[in-house]
Amino acid sequence: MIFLQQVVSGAAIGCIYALVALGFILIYKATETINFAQGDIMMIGAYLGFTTVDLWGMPYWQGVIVAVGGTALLGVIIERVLMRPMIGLPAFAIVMVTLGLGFLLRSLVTMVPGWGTDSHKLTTPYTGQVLRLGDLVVSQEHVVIIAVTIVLIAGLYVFFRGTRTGIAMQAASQNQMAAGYMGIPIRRLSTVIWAMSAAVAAIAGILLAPLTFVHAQVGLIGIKAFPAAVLGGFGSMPGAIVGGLILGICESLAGFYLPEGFKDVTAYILLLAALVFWPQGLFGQSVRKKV
Amino acid sequence: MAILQVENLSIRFGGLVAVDQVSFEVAPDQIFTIIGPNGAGKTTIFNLISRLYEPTSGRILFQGTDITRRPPHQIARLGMARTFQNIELFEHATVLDNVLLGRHVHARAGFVSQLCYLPGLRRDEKAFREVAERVIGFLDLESYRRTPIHGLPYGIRKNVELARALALEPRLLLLDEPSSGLTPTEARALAYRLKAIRDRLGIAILMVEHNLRLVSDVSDHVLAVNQGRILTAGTSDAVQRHPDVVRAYIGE
Amino acid sequence: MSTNDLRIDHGQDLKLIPSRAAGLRWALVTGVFVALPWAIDEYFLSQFTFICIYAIAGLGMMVLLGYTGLVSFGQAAFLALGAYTAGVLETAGIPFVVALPAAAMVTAAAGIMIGLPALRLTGLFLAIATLSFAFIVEEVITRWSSVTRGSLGLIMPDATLFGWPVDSERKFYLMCLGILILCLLGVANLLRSPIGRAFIAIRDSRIAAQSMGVNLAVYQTLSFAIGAALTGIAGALLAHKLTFITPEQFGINVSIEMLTLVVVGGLGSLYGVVFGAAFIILLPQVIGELRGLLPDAIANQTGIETAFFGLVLILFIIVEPGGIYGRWQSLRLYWKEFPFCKAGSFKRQRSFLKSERW
Repeated sequence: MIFLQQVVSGAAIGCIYALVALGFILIYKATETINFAQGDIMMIGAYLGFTTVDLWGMPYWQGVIVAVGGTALLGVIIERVLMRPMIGLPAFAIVMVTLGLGFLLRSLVTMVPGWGTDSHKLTTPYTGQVLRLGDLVVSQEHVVIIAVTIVLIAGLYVFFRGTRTGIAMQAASQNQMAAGYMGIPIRRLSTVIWAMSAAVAAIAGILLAPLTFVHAQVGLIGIKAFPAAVLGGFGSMPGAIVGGLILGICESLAGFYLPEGFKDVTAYILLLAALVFWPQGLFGQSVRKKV
Repeated sequence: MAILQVENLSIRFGGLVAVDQVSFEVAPDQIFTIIGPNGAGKTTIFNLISRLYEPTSGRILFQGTDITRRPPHQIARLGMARTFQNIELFEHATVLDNVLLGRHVHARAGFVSQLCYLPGLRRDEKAFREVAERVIGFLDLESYRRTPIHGLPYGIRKNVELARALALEPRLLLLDEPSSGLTPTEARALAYRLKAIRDRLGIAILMVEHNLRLVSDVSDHVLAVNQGRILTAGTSDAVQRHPDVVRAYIGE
Repeated sequence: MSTNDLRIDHGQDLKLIPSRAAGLRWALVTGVFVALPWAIDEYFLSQFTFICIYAIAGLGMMVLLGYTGLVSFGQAAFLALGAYTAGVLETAGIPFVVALPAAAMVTAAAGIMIGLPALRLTGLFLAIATLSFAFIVEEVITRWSSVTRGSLGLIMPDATLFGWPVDSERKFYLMCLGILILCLLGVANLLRSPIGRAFIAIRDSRIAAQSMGVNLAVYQTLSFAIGAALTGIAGALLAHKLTFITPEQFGINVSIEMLTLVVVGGLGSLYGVVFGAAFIILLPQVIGELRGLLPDAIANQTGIETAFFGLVLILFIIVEPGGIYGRWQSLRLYWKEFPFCKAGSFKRQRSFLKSERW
């Protein structure tokens, strides 16, 4: 029973990893850019949620929607101001810019009045409650995380397979110039992708807030999303989700059954093992240069 | 004895058989050309011989040694050098550096010798530069010696790639579409150089080509392939007139 | 055009210092740096010591990333390994002259451990793998407290060079400067040798490098070994400078600092290593000075330095991707060609995205 508890709470954290990883993968698939600031955008989402719900007193679901929208707007601004000038430049430079962005975001939040350097609590209508499924006791927060993740993933799946925009995005990610010549507005798509990715990050941040509180270092959880994305085979959305879940569950079990300190490095040990034995990841794509 | 022997070489990518039971031999003083329409598998054969791909079956013998499972860097050491269809140069290095890399297989100095730039290394480097200069002279690259690659025009880059391959002092040179992108004048210069490489330097050449005039001009032996299979082999004229070859190029 | 540009013998090409005039310039520069301790006060000298140490670490990173094209996000791990190896050995009584090479060898071994399996990994995956390695090393150092004293920290004894105690800032600075110069010379030699050319070949085209006889396994691992060893040496020196080390000092921020160092300094140049180190160390000082100029409300914020750091990093990448060295080269070219410089020579090359995934 305890085992199952650990699995469920691990799955919940795994969903957070999965969502952050998903945000990464979205941007990576569309522009082959690694966004190192993804975790920090998640943090901003959490802060905005705190602002709308606790500082401004909006009802929870309304506040969440405003916060997610605000973060999506931030994504658009980042894309327009930072990423647009970088189109066509080597991937490495773009990565460095996102690193710098991460620094900037982390320090700017401490300068906003009302946010500062303290940890804040995000009030939700479901904190503290538990759900009982037979002998299993699951906290409401975990249930909400898992449920929302499932809904979000279903929505994204439909979007990418079913809609024209989604398919256009796939084309743009494979050959930008050809897609452009086919009439696909690659710049506008880039903006949409960043907005979506930021929104997903915000949702993850708001879901996570009841568990970790809202503070400037929350984004560093985003670093764990990398192993999740790699486990799933970088570039694959279902992979990111499976990777995140595996990571979360293994971490939770390691924390309970293994000696102290193992929990924190589980992610990285799993990652290194995956890279050595399955370099393509579980659902990965081959990368080979054609000569 | 043949310098290169390919026996029943095949490779499949998933369900697709890209190269199917290809066999041929290259003599040590020959220019041997492979022709065929696009997608026929010519570059794949090249990549198999230079060991960038793993064959599904078959054997490759170079100067009598079985190289079918050897890693690519060993092939260079044995005396085979190649150029690439899409030019694989070291973009941020100078022409001279690129050509000097061709001498890599001849480097003898150890780590400490290189770390401290001992006289042994100094001697080696001087010798390398002498060979590099001869090759650069042969390909008329003198004025570009110290220019980084990334600003250079296409024709010059092709010459640099050839220079780098020659600097290796190979016994067999693999050239993948050496005339693609060249003007007719440049192609004539290329023909002259290829014959000089064979006659003056004694290096065998195995090449893939589309320019049929060049093929007729320089080739000692021609192999025509289509869809991974050999159509026919022989002299340039005989092959180009063969009905299967005509059909492959022009269609039914 | 000076007579420097005319070569009559290959030996001239091989010289590290191309002419007498250049030799004089270098002697002058070295003289200035050696005389520094007698010209400035101890606080500023301390900053220059840090610059030397970071330059050595940056050199390791430059060999890996700038010259071999290997993205290593785990330099902090090598720094930590070097620091702790020196610390543990010296507290056990082993003299500095043995502990320093030992630190270099331990980190080189770690570099090889990462380098071998990393052969199949490219770019992003290598970065993530090295990042993971760094986290694991940090955790191991923290947990293995019987040896490293974990989070409680390790106190470093004074370094001694063959019995001569290095007990003043001046002596320590000169020692670090000396080690930096030796490392720079070593790497400069490697770069104009077959090994250096092999590294650059791996960076620019792995496939062509293989086809020209470069054994990727050997050279990539060698690059990791050298890059790690240099960082390990810096780590040992850093431990002495800080006199007290804890695992938290070697977190991911340090790895990012290293990355920033080489990118801002100028990827692929030895000058860039020194410029970048100066940038990393002096920027917080500059920001501190600028604080006085800003209105109180902004200046008193704790996050201002990190914010500024991030901002400067972003600006550098967007405006001058060649780093400080790149800007210097552009200026020299401009000066040399004036008034014939073409606008096009300073434009950046752009290429559209074509995915290599399939």
